[in-house]
Amino acid sequence: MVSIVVVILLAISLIVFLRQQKDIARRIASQRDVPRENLVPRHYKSFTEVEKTLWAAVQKQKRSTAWEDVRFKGSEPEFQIVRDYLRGVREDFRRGHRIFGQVIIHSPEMNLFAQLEWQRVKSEVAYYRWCASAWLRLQTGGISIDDLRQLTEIVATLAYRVRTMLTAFEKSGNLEFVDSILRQS
Amino acid sequence: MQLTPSETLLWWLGIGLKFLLCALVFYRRLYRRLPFFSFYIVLLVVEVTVVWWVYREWGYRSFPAWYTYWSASAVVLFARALVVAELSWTSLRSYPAIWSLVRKLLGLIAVAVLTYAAIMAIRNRSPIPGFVLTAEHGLEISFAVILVALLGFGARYKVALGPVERNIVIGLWVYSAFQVINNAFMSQWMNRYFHWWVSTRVIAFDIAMLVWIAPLRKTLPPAEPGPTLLSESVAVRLLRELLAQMREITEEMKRITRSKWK
Repeated sequence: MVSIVVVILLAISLIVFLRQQKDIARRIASQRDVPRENLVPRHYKSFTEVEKTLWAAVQKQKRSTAWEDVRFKGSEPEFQIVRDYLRGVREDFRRGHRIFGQVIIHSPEMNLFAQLEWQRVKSEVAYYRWCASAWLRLQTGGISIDDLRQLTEIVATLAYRVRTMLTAFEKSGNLEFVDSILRQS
Repeated sequence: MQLTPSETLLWWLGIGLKFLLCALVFYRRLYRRLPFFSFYIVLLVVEVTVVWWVYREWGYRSFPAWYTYWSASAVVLFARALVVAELSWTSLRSYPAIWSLVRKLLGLIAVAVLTYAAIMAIRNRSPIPGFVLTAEHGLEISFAVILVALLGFGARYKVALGPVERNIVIGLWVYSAFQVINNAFMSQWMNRYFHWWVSTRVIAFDIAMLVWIAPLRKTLPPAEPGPTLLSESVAVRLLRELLAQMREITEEMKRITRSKWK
């Protein structure tokens, strides 16, 4: 019986992984002609702009609540700005996470790879913890600007790490390596 | 044992597919890309031909038939293990740290399964079938896990397998999974289930061969250029520096957070 359960679990994993494999192949093919600057995380940089737009929208409605206490709910019109920003930042995280992964698997030493992977897992945990708490807040009172700031910090840290990695490789003359990483991430 | 018409049909279908697959492997020159897989396919054809000839010459219940069948099964099983190792190598060879770990892990699994099979064979009244069947049980579940882990690795680090390699993984996995389930039923209802056990085995392998044949119908796509490699010394130096930098940043952020709360 145990072996049958194991096979069922493996079958489910196989289907999931095969779908992901197809997505990877499709994505690599689709970003062949994408400009290089669009292959790195970039949406998170617009946080200040988004905050300003949200501030203006809230002011227009003459809400008296303190800015830090304002909650954005799915039903409100300004939530579209939040939604667009979140979509961009989510893409940033995924892209950064992929680039990070692509770089560290080239590590020649297992110990070094494990330590870098640990750093990657930590940023992954922080991101998914934020997603879980944001989902909960959306179900209850809505998300605040501080929540968005926290997410931006998580993604900006990852993006900084990725940029530092790529710059270090570029400076050491490995331009081709950086290009292949970006195209395959 | 007398085969029923449907079983005979299945056997002939299997034989036909083996020859077709072998012809396609050579026609598409797959041996250049995956030599062990090609060797395995050739072995399948040789196995079926030799076993058929021995059965015809000495009869199904003769000693030569018995030894030939079990020896051929052992050789084919070993070749399949080499195919799994080859797939792991083709997918992971560009990643030295991971490949060195996986290589050790594969070696460890092989040693553990073969030692266990040898112990079981010594205890068994018929050592050869005992060894082959126990090794097969252990290896099939190991293959199923290794192949899924290989795809899982690809999903985690966004490394895509080529279409041919992907289909070989699927085919091997389907056969191994069927065998694991099949063996679980076989151990429960040994005699009553024997006919089913044999037929399921043949059907599973026919499905696997159809999956392998599918990408070989067309000309093989050119092999994807592997990721550009870095020199080992440069990679170690840069990644160490980056790790140290990351740790510094983390410490700095922790310090800032602590000072905020004070």
